[in-house]
Amino acid sequence: MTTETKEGEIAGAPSPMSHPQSQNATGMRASQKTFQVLEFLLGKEHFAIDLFDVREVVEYTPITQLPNTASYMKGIIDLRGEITTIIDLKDRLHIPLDKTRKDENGRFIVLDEKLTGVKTGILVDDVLAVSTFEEKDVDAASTAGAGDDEAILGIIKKKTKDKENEVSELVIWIDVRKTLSIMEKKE
Amino acid sequence: MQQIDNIPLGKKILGSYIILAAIFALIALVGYSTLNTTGTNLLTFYILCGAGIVGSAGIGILMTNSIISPIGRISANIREIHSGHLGERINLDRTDEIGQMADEMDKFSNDLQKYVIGTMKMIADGDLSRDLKVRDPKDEIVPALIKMTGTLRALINESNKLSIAAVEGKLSVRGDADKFKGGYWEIIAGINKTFENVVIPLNEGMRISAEYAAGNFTAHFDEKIKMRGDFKTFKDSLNRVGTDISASMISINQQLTNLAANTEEANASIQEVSAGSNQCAINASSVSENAEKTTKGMHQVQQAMDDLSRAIQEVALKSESVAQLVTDTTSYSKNGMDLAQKTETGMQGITKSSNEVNQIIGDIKSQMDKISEIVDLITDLANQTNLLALNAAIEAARAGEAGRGFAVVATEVKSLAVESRASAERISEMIENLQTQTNNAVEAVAASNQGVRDGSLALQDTISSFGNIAGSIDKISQNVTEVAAAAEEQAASIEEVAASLSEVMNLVDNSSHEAQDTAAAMEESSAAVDQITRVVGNINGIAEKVSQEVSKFRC
Repeated sequence: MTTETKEGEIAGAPSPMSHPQSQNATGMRASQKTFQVLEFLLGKEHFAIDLFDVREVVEYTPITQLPNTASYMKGIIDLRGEITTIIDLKDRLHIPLDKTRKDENGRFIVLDEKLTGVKTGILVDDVLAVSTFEEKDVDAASTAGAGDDEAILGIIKKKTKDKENEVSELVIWIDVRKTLSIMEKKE
Repeated sequence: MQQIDNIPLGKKILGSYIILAAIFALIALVGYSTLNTTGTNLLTFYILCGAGIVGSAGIGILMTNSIISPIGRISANIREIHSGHLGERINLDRTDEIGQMADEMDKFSNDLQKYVIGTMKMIADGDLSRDLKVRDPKDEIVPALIKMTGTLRALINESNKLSIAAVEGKLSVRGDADKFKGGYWEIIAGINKTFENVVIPLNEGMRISAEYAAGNFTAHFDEKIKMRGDFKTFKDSLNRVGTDISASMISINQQLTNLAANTEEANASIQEVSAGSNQCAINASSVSENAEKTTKGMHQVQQAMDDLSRAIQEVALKSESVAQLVTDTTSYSKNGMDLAQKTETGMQGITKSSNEVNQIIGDIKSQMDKISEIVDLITDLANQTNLLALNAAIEAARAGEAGRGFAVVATEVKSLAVESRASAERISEMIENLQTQTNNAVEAVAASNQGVRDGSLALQDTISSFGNIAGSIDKISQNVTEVAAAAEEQAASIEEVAASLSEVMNLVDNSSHEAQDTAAAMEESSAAVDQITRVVGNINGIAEKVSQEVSKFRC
C-alpha cells in the first residue's frame, strides 16, 4: 500500500506535464528544436532516455539469474515468448542501492531492437512519463564535473509548479546506446 | 878505715895490686943489690921478703874484710825479704859498689814494702783507686798489679750489673763469665747459675700469676720444673690458690645457674600471678560493669513495668469502648452487604450490553475488510492503466505525426489513471483510519467488560469480606472481654514482678560493690606483684652480671 502511495505521488508529479507536452507537440511543428524522452527513476534521481530508443514499458516479472555473468546482468525473463536480457542500470551507473526499495516494485523498459542485437530491457525503479523538452532546457556544459563519462548527454532543467512557485527539477539525460556499448567494450 | 870503704872497689883492688907489685919490685930490687953484695944482704932480703908477705897479707885481709862483710849483710837482707820481712834495711854507709848495691837493695825493699805491698793491701781492702804507672817496658810488677785491679774492677762491675738488674727485676740479665778466667769465671758462672735457679721458678710463678690474673685458674706449675726448698712451698701455695679458686668459681657458677633457674621460675610464677590478678581485675571490672548494666537494665525494666501497668489500665478502659464500637460496626457491615448485592445486579446488565456492542463492531470490521479489497483492485487497475497509457504514449510518439491525436488520448488516459489511483488511496486511508478506530472501540469494550468482571469479582469479595467482618467482630467482642480479664491478672503479676525487681537490684548493687572492692584489692596485689617482678628482675640482672664476671674465669 505504502509503495503504491509513493508511486502515486511520483506518478502524480508529471500529470501537469500533459499540458506542456501538448504545447511542445504544437511547438515541435513550429521548430525542430524539441525532443522526446522517457523519464524514469533510479534511486532518488530522475533520468531520461531518448523515446525512440524505447520499445515498451512492462511490469516486473521474476528474473532468472544466469551464472558467470557481470553483476549488472540481472538475468533473463520471458516476455510474451521472447527471451529478454535484463540489465540493472543502477548497478551499471554505480548508483548506491537503496535496500528498502524492492526489485518487485520496479519496471522494465524494453529497448528498441535496433540498438541491441538481442532483445534487452533495463530495470528501473519507476517509469514517470513521456516528456517533450526544448534543446535550450539542456545544459551540456554542466556534465563537465562528471568526468569523461560520454554516456551522460546533458542535464535537463525541468520546470514544475510546486505550490505556485516555479522550481527547476534536474533530469539526467543519458545515452542508453553508449551506456550499453561501453558495457560491451568492457566485456 | 872509713876512707878505705869509700874507695871504689876497682880502685881498691887496683891499689892492692899496685901495692903488691911495689912490694914485689922492692923485693926484687933489694934482692938484686944484695946479690951483688953477697952475704950481708941476704938477711935484709929475707927481712924484706917477710915484710912483703906480711904487708900483702895484711892488705889482703883488709881488702877482704872490706868486701865480704857488706855482702854478707846484703845476703842476710835478701833472705829477710825472701821471708817477707820487708821492714829490714842494710843501711851501708859506703859509696863503693857494695854500698851502692846495698842502697839499691834498700830502695827495692822500700819500693816493695810501700808501693807493691801497699797497693796490694789497698786492693785487699777493696780500694782500687791507686793510679799505677808502668815504669819501663820491662816492668812486670806494675802491669801485673794493673791487670789484677782491672780484673777485679771488671768482676765488681759485672757483679754490680747483675745485682742492679736483680734489684730492677731484670731477671733475664746474665753475667758474661767468658770475660773471666779461673776462679773469677767460676764466680760469675756461679752467680748466673744462682740466677737461673731462682729465675725459672720465679718466671713460672709469674706465668701462673699472669694466668690467674687473666682469669685462668686451671693453670698449674709445670711439674717438669724442679723446685727445691722454699720454692717448693711457693709452688704448692700457688697451685693451691689456683685449685681453690677454681673450685670456688665452679661452685659459684653452679650456684648462679641455680639462682638463674630459680629466678626464672620465680619470674614465670610471678607472670602467672600477674596474669591471674590481671584476669581477676578484668573479671572484677567486668562484673562491676555488668552489675551496672544490670542495674540500668533493671531500672529500665521497672520503668517498663510501670508503663505496662499504665498501659494495662488503658487497655481495660479501651476494651469497654471497643465493645461499643463493635456493636456499631456490625450494623454498618450489614448495610454494606445489601448495597453490594444491588451493585452486582447492575454489573451483570452492563456486561450483556457490551457483548452486544462487540458483536456489532465485528460485523463492521468484516465489511470494511471487503471494501479494502475492492480499493486494492481499483489501485491495481489504475496502475495497469498508467502503464498502458505510457506504452500508448510511446507508440504514439513512434508513430510520429500520425500518432499525434492518439498521444493526446494516451495522456488523458494516464491522468485519469493517476487520479483514480489517488482516489483509491484516499479511500484506503479512510478505511485504515476507520479500522484503527473500530479496533480501539473493540479494545475499549473489552476493557470495560474486563472492568465489569473485575468489579463483579471485587463485589463478591466485598460481600464475603462483610461476612468476615461480622464474624471477626464477634471474635473481637469475645477477645476484648478476655483481654479485660487478662489485663487485671497482668496488673497483679506486674506488682509482684516490681517487688522481685527491687530485691534483685539490691543484690546487684551488693555484688557491684564487692566487685569494686575486689578490683581495688587486685590493683594492690598487681602493684605488689610488679614490685616482686622488679626485685626478681634485679636479682636476675645481678646474677647475670656476676655470671658474666665469673665466666671471664676459666676454672
